Formats: sequence, structure tokens, C-alpha cells
Amino acid sequence: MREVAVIGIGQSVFGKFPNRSAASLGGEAVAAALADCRIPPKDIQVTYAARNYDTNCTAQAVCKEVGIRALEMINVENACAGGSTAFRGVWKEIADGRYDVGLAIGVESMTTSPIAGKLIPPEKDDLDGHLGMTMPSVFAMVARRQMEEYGATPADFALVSVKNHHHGCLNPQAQYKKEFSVEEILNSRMICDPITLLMCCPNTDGAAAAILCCMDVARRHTTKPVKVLASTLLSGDYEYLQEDICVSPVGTKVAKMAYEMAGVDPKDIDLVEMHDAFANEEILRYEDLMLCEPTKGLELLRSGATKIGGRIPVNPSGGLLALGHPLSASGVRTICEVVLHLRGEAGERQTPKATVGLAQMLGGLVTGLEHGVNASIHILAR
Amino acid sequence: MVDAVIVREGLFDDAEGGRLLGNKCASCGKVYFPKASFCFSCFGTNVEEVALSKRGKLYSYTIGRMPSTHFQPPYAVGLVDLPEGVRVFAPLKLTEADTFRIGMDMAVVIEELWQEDGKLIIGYKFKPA
Repeated sequence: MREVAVIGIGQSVFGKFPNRSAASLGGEAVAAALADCRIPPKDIQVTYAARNYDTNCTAQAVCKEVGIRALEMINVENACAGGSTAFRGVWKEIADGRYDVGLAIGVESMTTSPIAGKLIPPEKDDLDGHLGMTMPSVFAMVARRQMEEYGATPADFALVSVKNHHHGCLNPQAQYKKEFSVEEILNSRMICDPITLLMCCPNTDGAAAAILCCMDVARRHTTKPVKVLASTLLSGDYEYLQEDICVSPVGTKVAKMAYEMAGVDPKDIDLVEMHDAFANEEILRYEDLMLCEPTKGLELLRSGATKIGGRIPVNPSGGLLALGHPLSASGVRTICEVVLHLRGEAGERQTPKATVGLAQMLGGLVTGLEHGVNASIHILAR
Repeated sequence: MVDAVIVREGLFDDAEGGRLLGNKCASCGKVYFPKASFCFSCFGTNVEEVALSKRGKLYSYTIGRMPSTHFQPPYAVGLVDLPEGVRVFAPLKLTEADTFRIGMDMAVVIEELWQEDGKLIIGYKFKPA
């Protein structure tokens, strides 16, 4: 298996753009990634694109915007982990030696999707979806258990959102650059109690892109390539095996796989970008990722260690909560943020001396399976 | 007369005032709801229909304040643990707001869930027992 590097990253604007096509948003991200590594479109040999809603030859539609055509293109859907899946697809192609240079795209137009302005349900035939299950209702039920079992309070959940909104203020590309207090978050509109509006990620249109290559090509373009140390993707197990809905079996397993593959310890990680679609979730993911001992996620949050400037900054980009969450784009976008820190180019939100970073995504609801039907982790290093 | 249709076949019947129907592995005893086509736990293929307990304990819940696919707010949904080792996701019957608490006894009811194209959609809910 060959080593793989990320040499180009790009993001479109994030926000609500009902008049822009997915191809236009995706094209903007790909153009930024090409410009970032200064390679011509003709050098791209393979493309994977992820999109959740209305997907139909998305890769081809995006690539034609920037002069990339007539090559192998694959479209994937894997809920919120779609972007991670596209990235991993390209990584596998290059690691296996099939191609030398590839492009991963994640794109979503939430405002023009069938679920625009709604609570995200499971797939349309899903039984529990008909019975009232939505993404926020699941995480609200998780939040109630966090309060019952682990002593969490709604103010703790709000604290995650305060932190990530503060981070978003330092990111020029964030959808929301506004500070909020714990009180403002608690007093925002109730969505599924105890989850309020400002504890939920917004509906976002946007795209992200990454260009991956083998080390020979990377060295020709940059003196500081960022290497992919681990690429993992795992599906969830049966729901009945998840006795405690606060503990993610798939999230825990995929973390072990990633650390083992990368040959790094959780304490070696300098920054984390993760799925914080709902504020309470981030606290549990600290534990899955072994950033702290099991059940100690609340302590880690309250200690301030996961703020920019803390021991292990989590979601320095602003996360899905402030930067925005175009579903399939986020899996690529989290990796782009980690790359930026490893290069030392993250500006005001830069993690000092970052050498190893982790990008995680979790996604999907299916009746009968644990929530988080997919989990993916990439570990990158300079 | 308005037509009534059930939300999905094979999930419940109206015996004993309405009960959920799962299935049980004849080899290892694992119970499933909704029914499994074979035992996901031991891969046994001999599974038989069983009626589930009508009462369980509330594992978690939330009250929705924005519409879901079929429900207008406020509506409650939750997870109920049945003695057979099965956790069921279901709408909860909302009588007075905020009367739910984790661990409380719940009982299954079979009734109208919503109306669609002039039809009553019948399914299961849980209410405080």
C-alpha cells in the first residue's frame, strides 16, 4: 500500500443559496482546491463525489464546471459520512496504485432539497421515520439519557455551542460568525426538548474538495505535504446491541481502528474536527475518540480543554454548529480544516505546533441499526 | 365512514385490547421487534411469532416542537424497554405536557396515528401506565 498525501483543499461559500446549483457550489470548491495546489484540471485522474439529496451524476456535473471530464467518476451517498466516504474512495485508489492523483468532492444544496426547512428524517420508507423519528429527536433522547445517567445539564450542551460559535467567529468561511451566551442558546426556540435551535447545526448549502496524490507527485508540488496516516469507514451494528444510547459502538470501534492504522495514540492528536450536528453529541464523541476516559466527556468540556488554546481543540473551524453543515460536504470539509492547521495556515484559529490531526464523521438513521449508521475517521500528519 | 389502514403489516394485532407482535429465536431465545427474518444474534432460522408484553419502562423521550413526517407539534416520541429485552421506538400519547420521566411504566395502545388521503392510519403508541 502506497503513502497518500493531501496537496489541495478548497471550500465554497457556506450559507443559504437557493439560486445556486450543486454543480456551481461544487465547482467553486474544486476550483479553490486546484488553485491551492496549482495543478491543472487535466492532472486529475479519478473523482469521487458525495451528495445526499437529489444525487444524479453529481461528480460529472461539478467537474464539468472546472474543465475536468472524460475520466473515472464515482458518486456515493453515505448520509453525513458521505464526504468522508468520497475521500476514502480516492485514498484507496491511490494507495492501491491504480491512480496517482484524485479528487474528492462533497456537496449539498440543503435549501433546494426535499427536506429544506424540515427536521431531517430517515429514508422515506423507514418505519421509525414515519413514527416521528428525526435526527434531532434521536439526539434529544440521547441528551435526556446524558442528563439522567451522567449528570449533564442543558447548560453543558449550550457550552459546546458557545465554544463552537466562538470558533466560527475566527473563521472567515463560517456561515455564522456570531458569539452566543449560554443563556441565549438555552432561550432559543425549542426544537426537540432539551435540544434548542442554537444547539442544532443549521441547514447549509456548500461544498468542499480535496486533491490527493501519491508521495512522488506530492513532492513535485509542495515541500510540506500532509500525509494520510489512517483512513477508516465502518457501518453500525444492530440497534439491540447498543444498550446505552450514549455510547456509540461504531464510533468506538472505528476510533480504535484509526489509531491502530495510524500508529498514533489519542494523546498524540493535536486537534479534532468532528460531527457536532447537535451540541450534546460532541461531549460523547470525546469519549469515543478516547480524548478522555469513558464517562469523562463532561469534565473535559467543562475544563475548557477543547477550546482553541486548550489542550485538544475540537472543532476549531466552528464545527457544523457555526461553520454550517451541508451534509455530504462536511466529511471533506473537516479534513480540509485539519490540513490547514497542519500546514500552519489556519490564521487566528491556528492550533500551535499541530503535527497530527483527526477528522471524524458519523451519520445516518435506519430502523433496527444503531444511530450513526456510518462512522469514518481520517488521521493526517505533516 | 372513513377507511382505516394499518401503518405496516405484521407489527401488532387487536387481541387483548391491542398488542405488539415480535418474533423469537427458537435456538437462543432472542426476541425482535420489528420481526427479524432470521436470528441476527445466532443466525438461527427457526423464528416464531410472539406477542410482546403490553407494558414496559420509558428509556428516553422527547417532545417535538417542529413537525415530523406526519406529526404536528407538540408531539412526543420515546424509547420503551419491554421485559423481553426489546427497545421499541414509538410515539407517546401526549395528554398533559411534560408528564414523562425516564423509568416510568408505559403501556401500549393501538390507535389512530395520523390521517392521510382521507384514511386513518392505525399504529402503536405508548402512554403512561
